[in-house]
Amino acid sequence: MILEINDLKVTIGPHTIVEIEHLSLSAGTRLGIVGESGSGKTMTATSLVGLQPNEAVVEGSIRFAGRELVGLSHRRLAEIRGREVGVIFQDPAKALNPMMRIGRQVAEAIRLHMDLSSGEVRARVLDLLGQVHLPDAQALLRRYPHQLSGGQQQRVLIAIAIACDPKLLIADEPTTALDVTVQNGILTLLRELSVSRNMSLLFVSHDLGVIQAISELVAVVYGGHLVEFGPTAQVIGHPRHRYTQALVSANPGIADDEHLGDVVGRRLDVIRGSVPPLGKFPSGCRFRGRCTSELDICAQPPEVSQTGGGHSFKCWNPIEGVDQARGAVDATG
Amino acid sequence: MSDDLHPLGSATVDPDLGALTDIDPAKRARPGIGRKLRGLPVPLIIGAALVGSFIFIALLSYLWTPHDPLKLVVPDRLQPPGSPGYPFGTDKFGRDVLSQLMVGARNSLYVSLLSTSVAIVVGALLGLLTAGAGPRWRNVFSRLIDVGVALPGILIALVLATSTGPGNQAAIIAIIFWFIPIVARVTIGPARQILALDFVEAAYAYGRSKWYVLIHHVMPNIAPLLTVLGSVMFAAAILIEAALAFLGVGAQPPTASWGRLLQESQPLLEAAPTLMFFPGVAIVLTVLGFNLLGDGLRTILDPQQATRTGIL
Amino acid sequence: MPLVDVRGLHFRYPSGGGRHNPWTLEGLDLSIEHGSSVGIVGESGSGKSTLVRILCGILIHQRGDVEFDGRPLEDWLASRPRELRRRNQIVFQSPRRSLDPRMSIRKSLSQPVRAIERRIPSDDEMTGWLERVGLTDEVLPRFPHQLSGGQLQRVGVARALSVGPEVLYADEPTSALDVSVQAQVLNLFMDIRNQLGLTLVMVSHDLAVISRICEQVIVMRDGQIVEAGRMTHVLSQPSDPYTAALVRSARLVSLEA
Repeated sequence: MILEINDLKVTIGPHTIVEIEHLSLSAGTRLGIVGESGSGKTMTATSLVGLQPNEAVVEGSIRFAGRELVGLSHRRLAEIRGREVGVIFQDPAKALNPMMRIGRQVAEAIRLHMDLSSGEVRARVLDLLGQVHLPDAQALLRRYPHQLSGGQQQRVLIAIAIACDPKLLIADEPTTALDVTVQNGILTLLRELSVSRNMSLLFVSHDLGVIQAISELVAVVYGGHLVEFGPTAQVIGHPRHRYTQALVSANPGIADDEHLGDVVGRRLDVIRGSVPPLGKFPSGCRFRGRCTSELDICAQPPEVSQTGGGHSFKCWNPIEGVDQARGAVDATG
Repeated sequence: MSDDLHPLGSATVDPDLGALTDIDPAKRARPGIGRKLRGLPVPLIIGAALVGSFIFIALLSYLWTPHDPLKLVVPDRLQPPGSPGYPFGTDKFGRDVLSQLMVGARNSLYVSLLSTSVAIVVGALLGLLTAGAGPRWRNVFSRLIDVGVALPGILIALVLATSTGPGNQAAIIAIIFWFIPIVARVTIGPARQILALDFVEAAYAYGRSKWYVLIHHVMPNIAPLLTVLGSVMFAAAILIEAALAFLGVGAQPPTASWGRLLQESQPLLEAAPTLMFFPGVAIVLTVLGFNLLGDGLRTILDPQQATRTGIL
Repeated sequence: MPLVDVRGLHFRYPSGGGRHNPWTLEGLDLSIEHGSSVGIVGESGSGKSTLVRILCGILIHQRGDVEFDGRPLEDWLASRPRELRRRNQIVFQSPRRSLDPRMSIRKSLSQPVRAIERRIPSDDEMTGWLERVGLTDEVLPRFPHQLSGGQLQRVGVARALSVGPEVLYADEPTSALDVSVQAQVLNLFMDIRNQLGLTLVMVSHDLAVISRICEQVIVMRDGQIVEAGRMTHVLSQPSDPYTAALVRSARLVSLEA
């Protein structure tokens, strides 16, 4: 296990933003965290490495490569970031310094954590740019960010993130601002890097389609809680939690060729109501009030159920399936 | 509840809809000034108090001053502060310093208020015009405004003084010409940003003219900026008025002005050092008051709609 | 006769200096039939948003012919601009930027009628418009920052519909919305199209959204139309390699409907 989260709780003032009992990730695995705005998915990802807002308080246990991260000083966390955990964000244009040449920005990331001669740094920069498939790396060194396209900028950011061979890469909506053809290139790159370097990937997105394309495992987050977890194909194909199913149904998707004509003009399934504002989530199951299959017992916090193959969920009235055991969450990847 | 509810033609609310955001009592329904005293920032309160005091003193001087500020009482000349009847002392002609300060406040505030107001209005219009113009005209106007910004205001004041004669008029006109390009320059950027927003395009889509958009959509949205700018420029105007009077270009005797009081106190530095103190302090406190006021206004007006997004 | 007919459309943004900008739209030919639902799809820089702004009269083209209901756009703008505006309305991408933050919903909602019909609509009328999109008069006195993205987008639609247009243009109307809210808004578009018989022209970068709403599709790239036709045909048997690549990419990151 490269990452083990237990009883993670992130609060801002009186509000609990994230509450996850258990989530773990093994080396080289790609996990997608999917949720809408207000789900807490970004807060989950950022709080893992100390990038949460100053007002947020992180409690619980986050073990990375055997070391406990909760309670570490800012300095120690900063050392781990970049060196052992890489992070990339949504808008590449904003993440790059517009006044600094590309070569220097990548070099900075290396110099911060590694002690190499300038020749070695330069060689490493060129090598990294090659690994993210940026053509003409030599010329690229002297360019400024605005001279690159969005996709190229994101590749540079990926190069910076992997510069010191991290064991884990956290990506928060890295393709949302990009065109779909470019997006696929980035996803392919991330997959390739994850495999070749045995680097785990934690991919946060609101887009189930993208999650399906890149992740082997998926964690569905609603109201800061982990409601379903398991192999992507299974969770999306046979969701058990009502919210997961609603999320899948609301997704427009492209029909296969024969059925394209059938779905045009057909209303989409909607999820009733909207995400409650902070502090206004119902007690018990967070999805109460929006669920079409609510029962009285849903006023109690749901227990975890598991199906085979590492698929688990927390729902009193799940979609039909084969249940195995109720009990402790085994959200293990 | 069925998801087949068709909103069209039905008089019931779409159940798919979420609740309206509860109004945070700290945020009024109407964006703008006027929150309860409890929630106001400290700089704003202090600034308003200072500014309010000086305005009050200036207005009071029309009704009453301890002594006639113009009356020369030579036997009482150069009394130190704390002398009976003269809490701040007298100048070289025996005129009461406190009375002169009060009347001087009138002058400073009048000149600054008038010049700043005119500069803000004209400058903002010029800025809006430039922002709304096509690229060619926009470049032309922008360069002209840049030239205006670069011109040293003092020079304008001196030139005016030699042609029209010194006095409040010269000071007012000088400050206006000095400030207009600055206001214009500052409004162009935000105005252009607002012009790029969708609701402006929507207005064009239902046939509004560019002028309508500039006045009815852009102007209200840059009003907070202008308010803040205005209060800061007001402070600068007071300083400039004092400087011009000090240089002999602004208010002439016997018109009392803080700047002139400063100027007259200069040769008497050894004999009566306190004469420089009082007008100096008055200027500093007024400028401080306006700066704090501007700072506080910025806090109230800009993040009026601050929602805590970005958490998740 | 098509409702909108475009031949050889060229457009570029005016430049301030001596040299002209490159053409944003270069030689477009297209037509839109009355009552159809058309999706315009393309990546950033394709010019799709610019095209739509020209068609609803926000931008003026430099070359080519654009005809609405048989008459050139220039004629309309010169002699009967308000009628042109009344018959063509537009909904934008970002709900928060579509409404003036300093105007109440009541005021924003009344703008098109004020500008085009030169009168002030009554609260009753406005309540009717709001109910059509699933809102109540509760939102009238509010300000944009007090409503959610989905609600604001509905207000935008209500505002556009207030003058009874024939053609509704929508520029990425759901791109800024969560998937569940997107579904609600897309359903709304389908409903109003069915019940009001509107011609719907929707711009989107998201092929999945287009495939659920639009019967016709126009594919744009770098200011030109690379392919156009029935959506089912273009998506299943694209004749242009760019279209094919676009469809392939889109399928890779879309769930199956």
